[in-house]
Amino acid sequence: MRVSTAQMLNAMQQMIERNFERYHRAQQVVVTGKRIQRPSDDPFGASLGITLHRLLQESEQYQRNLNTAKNFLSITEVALENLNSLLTQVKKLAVQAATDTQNADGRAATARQLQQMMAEVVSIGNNTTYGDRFIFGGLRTLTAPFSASGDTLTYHGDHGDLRVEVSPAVEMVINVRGDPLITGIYHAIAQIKRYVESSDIELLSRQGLQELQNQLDNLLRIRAEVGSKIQQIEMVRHRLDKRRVDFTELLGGIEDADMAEAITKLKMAETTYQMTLATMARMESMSLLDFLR
Amino acid sequence: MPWTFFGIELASRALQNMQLAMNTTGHNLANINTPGYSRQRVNLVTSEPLILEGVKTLFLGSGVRVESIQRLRDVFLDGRITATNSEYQRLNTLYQRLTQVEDVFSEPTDAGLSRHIIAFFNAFQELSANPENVGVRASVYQTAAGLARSIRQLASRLDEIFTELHHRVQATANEINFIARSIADLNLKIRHNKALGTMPNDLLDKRTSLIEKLSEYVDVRVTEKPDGTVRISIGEFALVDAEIAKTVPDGVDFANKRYTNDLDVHVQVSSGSVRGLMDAMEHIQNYRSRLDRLAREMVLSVNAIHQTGYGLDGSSGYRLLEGDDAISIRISDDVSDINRIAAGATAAPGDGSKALELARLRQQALRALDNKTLPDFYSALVAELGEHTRSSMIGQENQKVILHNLQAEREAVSGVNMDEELSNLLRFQRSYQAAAQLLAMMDAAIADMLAAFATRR
Repeated sequence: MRVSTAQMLNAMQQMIERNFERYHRAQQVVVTGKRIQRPSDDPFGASLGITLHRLLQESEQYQRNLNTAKNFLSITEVALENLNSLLTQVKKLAVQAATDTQNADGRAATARQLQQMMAEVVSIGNNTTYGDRFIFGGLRTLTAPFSASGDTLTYHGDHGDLRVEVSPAVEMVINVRGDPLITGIYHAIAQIKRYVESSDIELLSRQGLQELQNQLDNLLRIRAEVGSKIQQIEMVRHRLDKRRVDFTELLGGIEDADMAEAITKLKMAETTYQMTLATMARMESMSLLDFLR
Repeated sequence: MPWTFFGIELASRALQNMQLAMNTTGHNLANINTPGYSRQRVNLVTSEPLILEGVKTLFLGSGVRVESIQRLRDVFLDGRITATNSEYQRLNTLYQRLTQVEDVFSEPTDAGLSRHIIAFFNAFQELSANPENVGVRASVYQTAAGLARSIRQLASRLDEIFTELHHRVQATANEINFIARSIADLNLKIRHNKALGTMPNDLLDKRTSLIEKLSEYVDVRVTEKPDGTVRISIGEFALVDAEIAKTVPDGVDFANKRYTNDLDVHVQVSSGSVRGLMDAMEHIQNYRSRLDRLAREMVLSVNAIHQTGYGLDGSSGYRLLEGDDAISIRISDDVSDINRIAAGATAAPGDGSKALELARLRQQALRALDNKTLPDFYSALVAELGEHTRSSMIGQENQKVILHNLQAEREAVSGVNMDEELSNLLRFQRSYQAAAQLLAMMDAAIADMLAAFATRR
């Protein structure tokens, strides 16, 4: 085929442009480490990438939710333990008082101690907070849940559940309502105190101790629930971690460049570009003009 | 016997013709970089022989003459090149413009809208776990405002590109009309020249270049007439006929892919950069209207949940977002007091169930969005943009290869090769030298003869 001078130069120029563009693209991939620079590089991969990014960021959000739930439950757990040891003490006092060996002074002292413990119950109910949230007030988290007047404890919270989504479509109730748990404990202690004050040993050892035992059993049940929720959280966290690793790997497979391959491609593009330039330089110096005369 | 000065005449004619050939070679060399130039060739033939009657009739060669100066051109290739060029320009223009649109979307990077959508729903997740927290509320407000801003920016940048394309299409109408007038002028000149019996090679080249330039903008059909003029039409619209050029109106009807004066003149465009621009406009309008739908559904579905919830101050019924399309979406003034952001289904401050419902909106297939979720509707849009860009890129690359091959074929016929011209130059130079030598010898012979007469007297 006959080749014109302009055609040869044009073709050379086009080659240089194209090879430079390829070189530039290969460079971009290596520098950013990303295979997909724009949607048209891989439309399906790009949209899958968007979805995976969403799932990843969601699972990070779930991790944060899990932390909230765990902290909330742990604080609850400590408060319940305190209530438990308090109740154990109350039981000891009540049993002592019921053995009928105490004199009037001794009973008065016991009643004072019981009064003290009732105040402690209120203190646990009102001073256990997560940040500035009262944890025993149901959904009314910003008002102190209890106020005591004499032997009656009034509950200002509600009976709502605090729910946190810990993984897709899985909700967990993280609060223990102060009523009837804490009100029940308070009233049980108050009843025992009254029996002690009135030296009603019969009622004390029957109804008083019975009610106290009911409260202890109830507390034990709730503590077990909280404990198992904390365990559950650890399991969910484990699962989420695995999900995150899976997603990250998937995303890497879609978006990330294979570095060895990318660098090889860059090297090849570079060599091709250099060769094009060298050819251009040689061609330009080749002309019949150089051989005339 | 030939007359005395026959030899001198023969030599001088050879001299003149070799000079002509050298001039034409020079013309070729001078135009080596002129786009659209076709090389010219001096066609040399033997001149009429002298017939010598005698015992035997002899034909005595009388030298050389120029039969024609020919423009080397394959006119069939020209037609294929204009058609391929139009299609290449259409796809290339579309590709360039869609690349611009891709830049605006900035996916998949942290600057893309997708990250804002995720952040928005995650903020509500966070709020559902901490509904009383003022810091979390502030961040919900910021991410919601950021989402709305990001949608608005995307929409307005798409609008900017759209407007620019519209202007470009209009400006091209003027360009087309200018070229059409130039071609009509050339038609007139070419017809005059042809009538006088000369071949106006360079005018033909010029006209071919103009037609090619025109084919970059629109698809053209060229019919050549016996008088040398061409008729050029764009679809059904006769743009140039002999020395008459009609005017393409600059009204843009991109949906129907035509120029229009909104009355009776419509110019259907099916290829060329103008069609590429119109195609891009259609795509952008499509993306833009889907962005509108996304924004509208976002506002409606978010507010539907938000308005039934309660803020930290016990208020209810407030909107979170406002607006009914992608350009008007914004965070509502209702929630400029962040305590009014509704997190609960009840007025209790610890109630985060509304926020959770809002966070779950991301998983909900919405009928108005073709039964897709909000995030999926958006990522489908990005995937489609990528697909459009990619197919136009592949298309333009293919057309480019075809075009380059055709151009190479044409260059093989019409292009100037410097070495070839230089060797022609050498050849003609040598012939010229030989003819000059011949002239000198003829001259010497006649001088000898004259001298012989002089001594005899």
